[in-house]
Amino acid sequence: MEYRRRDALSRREVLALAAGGTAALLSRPILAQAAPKVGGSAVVAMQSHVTSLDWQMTNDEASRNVNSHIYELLVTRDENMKPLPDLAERWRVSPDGKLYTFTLRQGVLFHNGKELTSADAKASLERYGRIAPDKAILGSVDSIAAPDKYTVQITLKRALPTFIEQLSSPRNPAAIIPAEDAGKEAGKSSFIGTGPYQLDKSVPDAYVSLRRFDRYQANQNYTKRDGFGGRKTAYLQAVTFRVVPESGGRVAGLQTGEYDLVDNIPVPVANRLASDPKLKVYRVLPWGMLVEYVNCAFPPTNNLDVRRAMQAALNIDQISRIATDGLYQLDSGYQYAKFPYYVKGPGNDLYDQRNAAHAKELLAKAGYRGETLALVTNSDFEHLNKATIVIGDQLRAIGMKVDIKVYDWPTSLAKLNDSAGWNLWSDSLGLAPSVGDAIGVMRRFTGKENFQKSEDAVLDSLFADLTTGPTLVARREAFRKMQARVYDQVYAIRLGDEGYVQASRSWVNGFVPYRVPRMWDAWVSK
Amino acid sequence: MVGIAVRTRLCAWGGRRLARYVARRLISAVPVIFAVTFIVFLVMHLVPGDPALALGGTEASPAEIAQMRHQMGIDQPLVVQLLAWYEHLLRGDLGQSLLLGQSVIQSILARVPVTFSLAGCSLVVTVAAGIPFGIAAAVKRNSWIDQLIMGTALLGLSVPNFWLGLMLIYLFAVALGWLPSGGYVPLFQDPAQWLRSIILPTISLSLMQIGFIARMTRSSVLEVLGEDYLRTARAKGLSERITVWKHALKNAMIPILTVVGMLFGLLLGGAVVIETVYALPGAGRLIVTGILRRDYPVIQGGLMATAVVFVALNLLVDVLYAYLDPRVRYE
Repeated sequence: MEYRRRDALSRREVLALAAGGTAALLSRPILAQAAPKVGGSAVVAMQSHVTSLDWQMTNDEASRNVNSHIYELLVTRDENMKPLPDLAERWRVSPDGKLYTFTLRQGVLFHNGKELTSADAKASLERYGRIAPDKAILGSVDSIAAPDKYTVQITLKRALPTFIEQLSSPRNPAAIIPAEDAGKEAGKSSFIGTGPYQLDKSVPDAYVSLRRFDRYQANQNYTKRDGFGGRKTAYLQAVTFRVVPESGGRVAGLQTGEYDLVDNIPVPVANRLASDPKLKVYRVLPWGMLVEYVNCAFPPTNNLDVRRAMQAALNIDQISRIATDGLYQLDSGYQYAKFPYYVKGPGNDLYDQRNAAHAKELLAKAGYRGETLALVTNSDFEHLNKATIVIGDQLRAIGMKVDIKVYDWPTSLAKLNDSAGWNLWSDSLGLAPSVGDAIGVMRRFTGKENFQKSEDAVLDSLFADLTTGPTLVARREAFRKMQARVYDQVYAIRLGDEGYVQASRSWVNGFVPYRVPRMWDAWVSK
Repeated sequence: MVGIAVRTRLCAWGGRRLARYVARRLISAVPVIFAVTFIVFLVMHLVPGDPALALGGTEASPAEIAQMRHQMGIDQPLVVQLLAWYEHLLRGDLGQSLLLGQSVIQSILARVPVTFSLAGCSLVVTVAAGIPFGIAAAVKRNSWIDQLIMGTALLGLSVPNFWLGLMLIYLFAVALGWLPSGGYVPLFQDPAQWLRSIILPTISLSLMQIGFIARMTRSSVLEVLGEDYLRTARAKGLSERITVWKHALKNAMIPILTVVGMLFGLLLGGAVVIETVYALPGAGRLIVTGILRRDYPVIQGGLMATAVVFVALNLLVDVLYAYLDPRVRYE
């Protein structure tokens, strides 16, 4: 079986805006833009600092925002998060599903001027297998070979149909770096990639400056950008990602013109800014999947009827609306609608029931006698805190005794690892559902270190099918059954999907919101 | 000539005593700093959560978290980690930040100029404004001037500095466009831009302290103004200006100096909030971010550096006491 590049659709951006509600530009149509031009610079204000410019060792969002401009992968993700050939022009899978042969694009240059060869790709993947937090995605790899200058062969120990999905994951990416860097420790590489921008200067916790890589070899197999890949054009001479933790500071800097684009601004502020003709506001929905994990090992939620009572009682619409300041959508699925694994059916009848009478019946059946329910949330993510407060009120209304425990983020994560001391734990699933990563979502409910604190052999078996099923149809069926099981056993309570807001000055053109703020193919007309 | 020689010998004797005093205080600071780092180490490791968890969140699998812990070296026994830290410390190395990708010393040194610029400017503004206001209020006690100054001081004390910071940004950056909304320009890179970048943070940080110092100065000066020796000064015909400025103020300065010494510490603490509001990459924000992400070496090194600064400040204040009050001796 051979996979080749496919020409990008001319309506790609329109689809990106419309399909699945990825993004909606509020203030003015994206098509009304000045002609692209090379030059100028842009400052992007982000909330968090970059953990590392060595992309092979990071999986956080701020690092991804910056590193996606510096590095590229063999296979990346398109606008709809499907695998897309990038540095690899094409790949071939052997009939037994164990041998993957990648043919590299020729003439691709690293920022140090050296041409990318199979030796670099091989060395990069081998380093990734040693140092990357997510090195398990190469756990099935038996060997990597570079039989000629532009061919890389990966041999698996066993057939793994989801191998390309995992290899192209943008979470902790298998970034391709020069072979000379491959022997270096995690975080000690030269931060050289093949991307449209190269590192200029980095001041930790303050900013990262990138400058245009003039010898960048755009992928001629496409006609325009597509997700993390496609044909990328660097119009801006320089892009600075500045750390501005306070949202008020980011907004003020945008209004004064100090920042060209700002990330993550509060919804009420965005509503106010939308009427300003000097600004553009971008709403991205869905961005995160709000979920309450339920502890099945700690009373009273060790009783299935108590869990079902909570599921029956909650008004998901109200919780989500208050938590997100109104930027939300309701969906019972554990994937977003535009992705291959999305299934709405299982659990839909158990979602957003708002049935207090039934909830009270279930509590009576469970023999609930006013045991305290511990709701754990954190002070770092205000929307999760708000969701927990509303959940607490709704559960009190059906006669449950509720204690809300607010910790900082690391402490709340440590509590989640405990099998006692909490009953509900609030979370927003960020990247996994956003990239259609069915395995990443369902992993939480499987194995010994599951989040519901109760091993489930049925789920474990289905998870194996999800990972190794020979066809997408088979894997999707496994996912459907897993989602049904999670709802039936109330291992988690699915809330709504939260949105995300970015804003730019109106002089920023060509910017299309995505999982990272892509500054390639964006230009300024100041 | 004899008088000069005696004074020189006395000065030399005083200088030696001062040097011995400073040396003794510095030696006694060593166990203090050791204790601070030990307690910080214990407390930070007793608090739930670790940097791998904080970084990986719920997205990372248990295997990924374990891999990150191994890379960070926090999967080692606590005793091993503690001993390794002290071993590095003896070599003048505060370790490597787990999350910033640079050494702790580099991280701190890069941020100290920002925080010291902010705290130093705020201290100057606080002292320059707070003490004259306090003196004026004391001299004109119970007048409308006194009430105006004390009322304003109370207002300054009551306004949260993060809120004030945001209001100043909206007024001077967004509405008037006079000053930048945030960010920092190093002094030696562009002094004019440095000044522009530090004005709003300085006002935000110092306003509360101006009120504090003004009230403190007023109360201290009022206390001194009632002393017998000032009545004597007035009785012998000295003008009110000389009475206040020459005789009252120097005596009133002793308690004020104590507060000013503590004030720099307070300003360093307050800088954490202001650095966040104005996106200043300062040491305060470094430590707080370190705590929130459990970056143990940064917390250890940052708090040790803070302890050193506080010890030095206290020592400086004690030395200045003797200058202001000859009765104080270096014992």
